[in-house]
Amino acid sequence: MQRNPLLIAFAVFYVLLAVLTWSQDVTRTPDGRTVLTFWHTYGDEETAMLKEIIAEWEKLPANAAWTIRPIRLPFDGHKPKIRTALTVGLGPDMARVDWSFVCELARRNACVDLGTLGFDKIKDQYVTGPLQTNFIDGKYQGIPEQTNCVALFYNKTMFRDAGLDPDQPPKTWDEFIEMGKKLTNAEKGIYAFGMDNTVWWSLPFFNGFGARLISEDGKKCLLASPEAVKAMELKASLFATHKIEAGAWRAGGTPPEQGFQNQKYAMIFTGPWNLPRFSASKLEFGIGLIPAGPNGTSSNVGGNNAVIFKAGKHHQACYDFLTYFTSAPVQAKWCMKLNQIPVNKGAYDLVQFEDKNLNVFLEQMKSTLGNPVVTSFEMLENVVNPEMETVLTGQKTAADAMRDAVRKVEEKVLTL
Amino acid sequence: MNQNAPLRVVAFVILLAGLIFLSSGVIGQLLKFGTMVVVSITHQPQTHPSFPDPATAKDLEAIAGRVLDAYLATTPEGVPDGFAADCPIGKDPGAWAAFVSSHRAEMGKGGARSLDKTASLLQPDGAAARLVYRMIFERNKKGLLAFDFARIDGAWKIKGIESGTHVTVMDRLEPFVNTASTLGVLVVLLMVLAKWLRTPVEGRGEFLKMLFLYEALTVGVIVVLFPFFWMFCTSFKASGTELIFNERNPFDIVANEPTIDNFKKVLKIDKPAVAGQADDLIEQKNNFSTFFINSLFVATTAAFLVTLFSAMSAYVFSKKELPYKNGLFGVLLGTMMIPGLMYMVPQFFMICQMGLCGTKLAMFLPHLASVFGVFMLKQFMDTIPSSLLEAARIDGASEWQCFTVVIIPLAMPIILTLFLLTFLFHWSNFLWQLIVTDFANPLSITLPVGLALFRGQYTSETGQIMAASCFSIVPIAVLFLIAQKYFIEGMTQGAVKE
Repeated sequence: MQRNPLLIAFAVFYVLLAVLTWSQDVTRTPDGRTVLTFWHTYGDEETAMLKEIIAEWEKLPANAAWTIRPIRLPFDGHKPKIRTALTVGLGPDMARVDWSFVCELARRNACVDLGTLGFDKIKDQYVTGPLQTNFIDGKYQGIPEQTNCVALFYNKTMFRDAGLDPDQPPKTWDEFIEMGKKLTNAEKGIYAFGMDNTVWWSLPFFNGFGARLISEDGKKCLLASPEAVKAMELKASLFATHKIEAGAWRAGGTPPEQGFQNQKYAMIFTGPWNLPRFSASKLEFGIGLIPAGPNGTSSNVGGNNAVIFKAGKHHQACYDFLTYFTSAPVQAKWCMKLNQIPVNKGAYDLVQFEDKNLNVFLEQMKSTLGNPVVTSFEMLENVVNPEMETVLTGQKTAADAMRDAVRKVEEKVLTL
Repeated sequence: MNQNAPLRVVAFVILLAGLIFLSSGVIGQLLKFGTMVVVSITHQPQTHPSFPDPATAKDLEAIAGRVLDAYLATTPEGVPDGFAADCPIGKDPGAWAAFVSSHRAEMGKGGARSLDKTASLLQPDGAAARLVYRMIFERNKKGLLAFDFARIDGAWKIKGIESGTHVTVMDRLEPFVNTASTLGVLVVLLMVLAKWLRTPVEGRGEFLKMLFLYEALTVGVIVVLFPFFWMFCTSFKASGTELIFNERNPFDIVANEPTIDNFKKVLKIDKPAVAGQADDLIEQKNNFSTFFINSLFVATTAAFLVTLFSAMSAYVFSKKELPYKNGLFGVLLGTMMIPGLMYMVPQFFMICQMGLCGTKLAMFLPHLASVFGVFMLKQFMDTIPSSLLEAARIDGASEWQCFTVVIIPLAMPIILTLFLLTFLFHWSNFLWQLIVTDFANPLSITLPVGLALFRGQYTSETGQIMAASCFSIVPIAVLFLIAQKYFIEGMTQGAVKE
């Protein structure tokens, strides 16, 4: 039989590949301690810091029997990974999850009620906004572990060019609109504001008007309340009436962050995660609080919570580690190293940031309200976002759209 | 024929204009890209020669000297309270405004520069000062340019420049690149002109058609390759600057301050290896090359086995007689109507029960039975004449020989197509591989899952993702290039009529 060179080449390549693949394997040696697995979604720098903190915790005499094994998952895939792992009983002892995922896990009866481990005694140490995202069906089912919120980023150069004081960002929505008109030059494609139009990104508007989206018992949608309608009307007016918003929320529109970086939008809402990027791009920018509505300034809550899984065997040890990790001194150390916002109120007095912009977020965080707690926040977004868009495009009035949104949310989201 | 000559000349001129436009764009960007690659290797951003050059520095020192001396002269004691270390020069806004307006001509040069009152300062001893200019950078960026001055021997000299504010190597090389690009365009133009002049008058119509065709094809190539070009260029951009565009020309996407840091970070060769603990070794090996090799192994094995099994079953369904063959085939096809996601959890459960979770075998084992592959190959094998098999059998061929000597070579084009499709599927299969990966052993991570690790919750390391993507397209490109040749061979081999 004639030898096929392609087949021979393939065989040689494949053998080499197999050898190379298996030569990668390295195994860990156990050290006799009981292993607690902690699934997280941190980046490189955070993971290194986490390992330091774990080492410090393990050195404490009370923790001599335990060792924490941090296991990194990609943030994009942590939800399906945890869902499927729990299904077959291969989940971790504890995990860091997106704040919106805690409710789903809790309602699947996967999380330990932290009240039974003593959390009720220390819950007041935590910042209110992130803490509320863990309060599900009358129980605390997670610990705030890392938090953030959005604030108003503004371009000082564009303020100066428009004859505005670059050190005085707008404090109220009236000021915002007034300054916005001076900053906008639609002919040149320059706008005062670029905004997203999803529920999470709209919470600063709703919260500023004192509107709650879901009732505390989780059974009613309150989007049709007068406060929520007014908040929506204000949001829509920035684009439709005052024409100071660029339409960044539209399909094909320049996203807010990109528009801000390219000096097309003078102001955007965004979070502390963009500070390094904007600084690296040599923008001259400042940060102010979200303009105040009738209920004052307020923002949304982002970040992650830590949950302990019922399927694990060592709930108390996990709880001890998580409370250590979120204690004031550890949070202060973590936040100063990584430029993050503490979840523990006690850490606020201990942190001193080199980047003074972060202090604005500390201030903003104090006035944040908890996000709506629903089993599937994605579903809430899927239902409400299109309704909000109809207001911005003028297809519906805010009252009509919010009424329709309430009906759909109560049908499709609150029944989950 | 001659009546069309003026029209042809007009068409030629229009096409030449198009040629100049296209070639200047393509040659210019390619030359800049090449320059960028070289500069990224020879100059890291922090080692780019500082702005300003000696002549400009002298000029700036003269301006700053006059400005600072004038400011000192406006104060009664020479060193007023406003010169405290933490106090900016312009504590009194009125005095500052008057001062700036009186020196605008010196500093401003048309208003492009002005002093920043909040950041400029003088030290209490009056011997050191920082002047912060707000200026338009030469290319597309607005920003601050901060100079530290010190009074040395009675004159103000530049002591330092804040890092990140400089004219880059790429800026300096731009005139040369532009000249080279112009020369390149001229060469292309001359070649086309020479060809035009050498072409007999009666052949010029055909020449114009070809020229038009080539220009149209070039446009097509640009459209197809632009995303790849964008990817390559972005992979050379420093973190945080990936989304900044040139205001004057948004298509000018070549990095102005290129760096190969993204490639180093992706391959984890930016830090020295740490010997010792197992965790460190794992961390060191937990990099893109491990993901790449794992994926290559998984995708190759899966593609080979799927193709082999599909070809064998397709042969049976196509050329052999067995009871209820068509019914069985219909049932198989029916399973294609059920979305694959429905199987995911049960398959994962079975894999875990088999103790395979976290192994490379788990990455592809449930996907080895490909109904789509069987269907595709069977449809092709139906077109192979059965008389060829009969002839082979008369010559004494066994069943296996019939399959390997007759069927496989004739079905090679479709087999390679299936190989490619399966390879592609497994090369980019994120969800299944995510679910079965044992993250406790990061060395089992494959490419799609590994790439997801570069994306954070709020921000992504776009430069690193693009650098990793540059590597990840290589196997696909190589496979296509190899397969392309065999497609053609296979097509001619299969050209048999019954």
